[in-house]
Amino acid sequence: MYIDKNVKIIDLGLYLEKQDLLIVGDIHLGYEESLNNRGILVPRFQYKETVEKMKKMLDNVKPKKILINGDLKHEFGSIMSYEWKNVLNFIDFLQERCQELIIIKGNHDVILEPITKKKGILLIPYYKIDEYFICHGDKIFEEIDSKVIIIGNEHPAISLSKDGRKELYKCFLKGRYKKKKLIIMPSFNMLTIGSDIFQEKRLSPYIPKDLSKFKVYVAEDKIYNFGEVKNIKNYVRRTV
Amino acid sequence: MITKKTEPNSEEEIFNVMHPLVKQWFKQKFQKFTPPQLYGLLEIHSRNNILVSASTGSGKSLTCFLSILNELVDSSEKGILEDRTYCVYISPLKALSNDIEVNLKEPLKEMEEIYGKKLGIRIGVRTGDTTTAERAKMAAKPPHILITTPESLGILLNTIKFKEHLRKVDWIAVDELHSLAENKRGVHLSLTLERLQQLSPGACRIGLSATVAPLETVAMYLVGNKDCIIVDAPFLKELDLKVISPVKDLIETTYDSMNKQTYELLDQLIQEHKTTIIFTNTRAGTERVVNHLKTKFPKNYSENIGAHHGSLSREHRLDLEQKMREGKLKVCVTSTSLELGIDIGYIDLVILLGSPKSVARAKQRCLPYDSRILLSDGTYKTIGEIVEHKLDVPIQSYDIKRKNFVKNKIIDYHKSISRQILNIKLHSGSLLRCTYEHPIMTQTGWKNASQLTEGEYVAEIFDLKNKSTLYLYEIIPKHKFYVENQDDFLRKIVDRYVQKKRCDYSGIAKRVGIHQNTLQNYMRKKGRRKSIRLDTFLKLMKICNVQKKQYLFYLQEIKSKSHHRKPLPLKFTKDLMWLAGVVASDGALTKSAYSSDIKIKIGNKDKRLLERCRRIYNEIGFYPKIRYDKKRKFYSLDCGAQFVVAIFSALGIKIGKGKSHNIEVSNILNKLPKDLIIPFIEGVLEGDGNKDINIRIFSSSKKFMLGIHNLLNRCGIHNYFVYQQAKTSKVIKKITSDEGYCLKIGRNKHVQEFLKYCTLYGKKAQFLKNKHYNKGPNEKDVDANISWTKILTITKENKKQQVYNITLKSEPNNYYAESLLMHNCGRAGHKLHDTIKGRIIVLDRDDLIENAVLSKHVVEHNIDRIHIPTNCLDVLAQQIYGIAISEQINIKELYALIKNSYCYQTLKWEEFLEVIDYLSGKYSTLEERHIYAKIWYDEETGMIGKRGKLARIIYMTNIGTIPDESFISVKIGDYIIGKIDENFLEKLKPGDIFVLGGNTYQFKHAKGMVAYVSTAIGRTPTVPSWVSDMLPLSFDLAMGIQKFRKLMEEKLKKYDKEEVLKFIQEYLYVDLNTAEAIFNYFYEQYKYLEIPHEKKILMEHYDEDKKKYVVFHALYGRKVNEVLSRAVAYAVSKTEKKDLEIGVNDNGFYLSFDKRINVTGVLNKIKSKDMDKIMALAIDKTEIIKRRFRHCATRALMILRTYKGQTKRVGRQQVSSMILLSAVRKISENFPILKETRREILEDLMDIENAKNVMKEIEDGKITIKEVHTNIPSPFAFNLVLQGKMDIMKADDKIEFLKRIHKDVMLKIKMKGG
Repeated sequence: MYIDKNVKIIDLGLYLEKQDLLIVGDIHLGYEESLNNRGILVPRFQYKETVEKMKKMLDNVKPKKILINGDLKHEFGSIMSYEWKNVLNFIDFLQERCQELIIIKGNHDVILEPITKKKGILLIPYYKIDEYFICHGDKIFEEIDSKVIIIGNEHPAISLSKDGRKELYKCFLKGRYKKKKLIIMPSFNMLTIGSDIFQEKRLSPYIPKDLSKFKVYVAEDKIYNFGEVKNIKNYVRRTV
Repeated sequence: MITKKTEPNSEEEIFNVMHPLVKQWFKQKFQKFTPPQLYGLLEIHSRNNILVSASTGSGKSLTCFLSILNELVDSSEKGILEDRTYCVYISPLKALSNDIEVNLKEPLKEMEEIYGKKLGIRIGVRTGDTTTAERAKMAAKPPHILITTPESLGILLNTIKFKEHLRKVDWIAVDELHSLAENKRGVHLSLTLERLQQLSPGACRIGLSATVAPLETVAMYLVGNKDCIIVDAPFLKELDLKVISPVKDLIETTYDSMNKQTYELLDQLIQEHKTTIIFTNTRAGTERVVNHLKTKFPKNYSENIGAHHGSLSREHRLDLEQKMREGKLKVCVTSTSLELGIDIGYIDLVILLGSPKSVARAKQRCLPYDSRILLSDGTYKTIGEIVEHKLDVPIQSYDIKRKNFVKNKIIDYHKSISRQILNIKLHSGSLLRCTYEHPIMTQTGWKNASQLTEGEYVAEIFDLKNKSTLYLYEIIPKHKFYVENQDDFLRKIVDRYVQKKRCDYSGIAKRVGIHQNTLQNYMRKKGRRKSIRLDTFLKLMKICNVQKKQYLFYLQEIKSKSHHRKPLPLKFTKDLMWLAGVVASDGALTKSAYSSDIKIKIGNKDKRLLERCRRIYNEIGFYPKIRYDKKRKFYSLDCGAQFVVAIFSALGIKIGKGKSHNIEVSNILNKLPKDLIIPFIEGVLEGDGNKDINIRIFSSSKKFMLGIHNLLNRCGIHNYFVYQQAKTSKVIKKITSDEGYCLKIGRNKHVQEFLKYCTLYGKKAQFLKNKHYNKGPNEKDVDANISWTKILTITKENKKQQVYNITLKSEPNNYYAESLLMHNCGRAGHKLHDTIKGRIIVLDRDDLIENAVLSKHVVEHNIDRIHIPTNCLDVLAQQIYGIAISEQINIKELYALIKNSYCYQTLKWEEFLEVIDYLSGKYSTLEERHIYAKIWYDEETGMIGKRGKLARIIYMTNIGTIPDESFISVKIGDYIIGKIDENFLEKLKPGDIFVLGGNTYQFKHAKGMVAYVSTAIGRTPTVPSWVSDMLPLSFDLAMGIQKFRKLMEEKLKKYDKEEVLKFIQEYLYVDLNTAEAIFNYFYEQYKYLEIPHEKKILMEHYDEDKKKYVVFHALYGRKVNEVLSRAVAYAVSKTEKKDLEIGVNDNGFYLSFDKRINVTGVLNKIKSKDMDKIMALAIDKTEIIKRRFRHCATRALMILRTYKGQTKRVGRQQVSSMILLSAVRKISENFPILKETRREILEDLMDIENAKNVMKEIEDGKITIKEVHTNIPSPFAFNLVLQGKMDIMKADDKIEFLKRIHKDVMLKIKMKGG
């Protein structure tokens, strides 16, 4: 499904057709490890599932370039950590499947640089291509002249409720930021859904208070386009 | 084998094994052993496993400590006291262990005082509050008696150093066993006990428990598969229980006014009592009540009110407990931490806000209304009168040790209803009526009335040296007599007063209540009024501050009408008493036919006797004449002296006919000293006595004879009371009536004593004086102030009646009822009452019924059965981890150890292996195993051991079974306004109005640990927080209400209002007002719809707005209804593919949905045998499992609350547990922790067993289902719909749900567009 002209939603990622670029973000590898380190002994399924999902997407679109829009790794503990292997393996896996791998530095990516350097990958604050400006979304860049901004960071989700039942879904959002188009991507993290955009404090400074003109695309087994927020106002509760 | 001990040991048996020092201490401190002690002490001494079930205050703890101290004192004195722990005493609460320390150290100190030096017995408390320094000290020098909590004991077993001290423990005592047994703490403890037993194989187990049922199960819980003796000694507190409503009409009241009146009622109750404990069901409730009382009544509550609950700091709790002991606290508000019956302070009122939901047992130690209590002035008052009017009269107590009488004071009054009274008839003729539990002094010590046997001797009062004297003017009717105004006495008095005070005569006259002229007349020396009325005279004396001795002289000239010249006696004289005695036997007071005057008549054949009487009259200025009736050869003497008449009638001689039957001994007579009483009895003897064999006195009035018998006893003169059939008796031919009573003073010593005080005016006394003989039994039955009298018969009386008792201020804590010495109810002075006044404040009509039935259960001693969780895999995991840390163990040995515990008796090997697999990390890949594995398990050797360097510290910091209390922050936007309990949040649904900090808010939604609300000022809450926080109604009590409902249906069909009201009053023991409220509630339901009951479940359909409701009137308690509702919802959602809203409370449940769907016959479709399967699927589709999984995962140490020095917030735990849950599900739907979560929900949180039983009864047709349709909910459905807890039964998965919404939205867009 196209969320915009030339921009197609592939599962939890975005594919820019003309540019042959697949964007995914907020993978947060090693999330389980960080839980383990805090004494929550969650068994590890994340890496396996992430790779499987990624494979499926890549089989589907076979892009030339892959862009990771921030927060590849959840938290960096010891550099010797077993989880490091997973990150390296994941990068290897992606590099095998594309010609160019680009990684944008997210707010969690504190010490990612040694790896990217080792693998010959550029770690950049944002990526500009044609009319698209892609950044993680945790901070504002002045003088963006691109027409479309694509961000992650927010982990947007929406909770729909009916007859007392309530369920939370990952979603894409499309709206405007300073007269520019703004697309917010959900997280690629398998463990968490995200934060309810209508009920929790927003993280990204790109997101305006008023979301009523935003369009909602729920990403589950397929993409459900709900159109503008007003369509679902009977199914969501707002506090923010 | 579990056996009940039916016979107590004797005191001698117990004293025989007691060390002299302990014996001496005990005898100084106590009068006798309590029942638990009589039954338990020797068993503990012999190191038998024992379960002692008795109430708080029955000496339960002392039963345990006494035997143990006895051993330790003995060892100490012999110098063989070892440095090890002899006794491990486990108590469930930190607060409780502090209390026990006080109760244990004090006796030890007192024993050391007797001993004269230190005994060297160490007592130590080890809880979470114990400081590191204290711990180190304990490890070096172990306490001989270690007081600890289940969790701390679990830690101690893994402490290398301390463990060594626990290798030869003799006793393992568990206090408040009942409260532990029914939750996972108890399951945890049961394994800890096995571990301790493994260390100390010779240790015996002592369980101390309140009354619970069934005791056999609790005993099995205590000992596992070992033998155990049960001691059931219901020596219980009496509970004077009342249900009250803060408002008259529970329906037509706004929340604000209900709230206001509830607090006003609370304040009023608190102010009327000395110390009050208020129980609320939640910590939040506790804080709320304290806060409201402080702000609403700032004058009454400041420093004297306190909140007590587990999450308060140690200092705060100790401080509060200390304040309670010292009586500085007026009111203590608590959630549950004090509930276990800490003996602190002086508590005379317990208030339960809302319903306690479970039956507390209560018994009575009381007397019926007309039992006469001996006051310290020698007179009697009925206990009913004392209690009903709260009379502050001094009570006569008896100090058994010093053998003397002591004056005592009443500090509280009690009243309750009893169904059973014992009638104890004594050889002395007295009849005592009291409740079964009333303790009475016997020759072998205090015994409960029900333990008495016929032929046993009980203590009757003897030789009470009464010295009080009475002025005669005090006992005559003062308005009928006049005082002569001699010597211008009045004028002098009044003039002096007027001068001194500079007031005028009219003021004085006004105060006396007479006209000024009248006063002037009185004062005029030779005026018209020479005499003044006695009462006016006394009033005047009082006003003018004249001392008694100044005016006593004038009172010698009291007159009625006729003037007499001789002065009257001021006090009783021997002569007067003798004369009264003669009148009592051979005389009469008769009314004159012409005037209101009364004559004193005496008739006798002996002229000399009458002459003696006449002389006595003469001496006080009366001159009657002796007449002779020739026909009857009978002399008579009539005297009209009204003064003497007044005195005689004050002594108990009745006026008019039937005197001989009605005569009794008056309180005035009881007040007099021995040298006046005996002349009176001598007088009686002259009239109706017999001198031939010893002294015998006859009367046809039983009351009179008993009174005289009692008087003689009190004079220290031993005598027998004999009931005689007049016609068959040889000695009392004279008496013409059928029944006669006789008194006999048989023993020479006592006859002589009697004669010593006699006037010897009559010939009978003189005859005895001259007769000398020496015979009579030796006086084993007479002690210094006790005469032992035999019990003739004991009969039961089954009649509901009011019974009464009092609390005395100080020791000795006893009193005389009739003439018998009995122990008082409750401990004296600043101790916990044996009678606790319980006031249940009801907040709605269902509460009212529930509490009325609850009170019935209490009165009739129906006890709820407890549920002990079994095969809990999470607790098992924690304990295996603990064992593996302390030692390497073979898996078979481990399995055997675990199966010793009652809670794991039926644990399957496969389930056990699943837990081992989980702990050894088998579910993860080999390379990741180091992260997850807690233990290693070598399948070849079968050995198990610890894994990881941090294992010990992880175990120590995460042990325990109580889930972290989770408070949900309540926010408006970003602003936090307060906190609510997690469980309370579970009950809120969007749109609900609830109270927080006195304000009302509307709940919007919750996210993680935050609840978002908006203000809802002035709106009526839809969820009354007190009610919704309630504990679930027990199944047993629910069935009690169901039964009552059935009876009510029958009565309403057959009888009119009056008869139904009568039934309610009798059945539930409630007053008319309450009965009326209950009647109205049932009548409304009956008229509107019909009454559901134990044999009939109503399904009530009705619509509200667009929503459809089906209310199931299934009163089985929430635990069962949680199951039924979900089973039904699951069955419906299977066929209808709809999400259903479920509301559940104790009285039933409802399903709600937006379209009419078919639920007809749903209850009949579910088969009881499928319930397990259905429910496993059903709860997976509800919200409950998420929260409960966190609790179980935390217990199984899959979530570590404290890790690497950091403690996680509950919120974090919850969020992580959701991730954990979905991960675990990927491993297996039968992962042991997931399985345990389901088991906990179904068996502990809910009650699937009873739910199955209900379904079975429906299957078998024993319960019928009736479907009805209404427009508005029926009265019984009202509260359910209002407060029902919400849950959702999901009909499909998340994606299906999304698709449905998407379809809806698309359809709407299309319609708009089209």
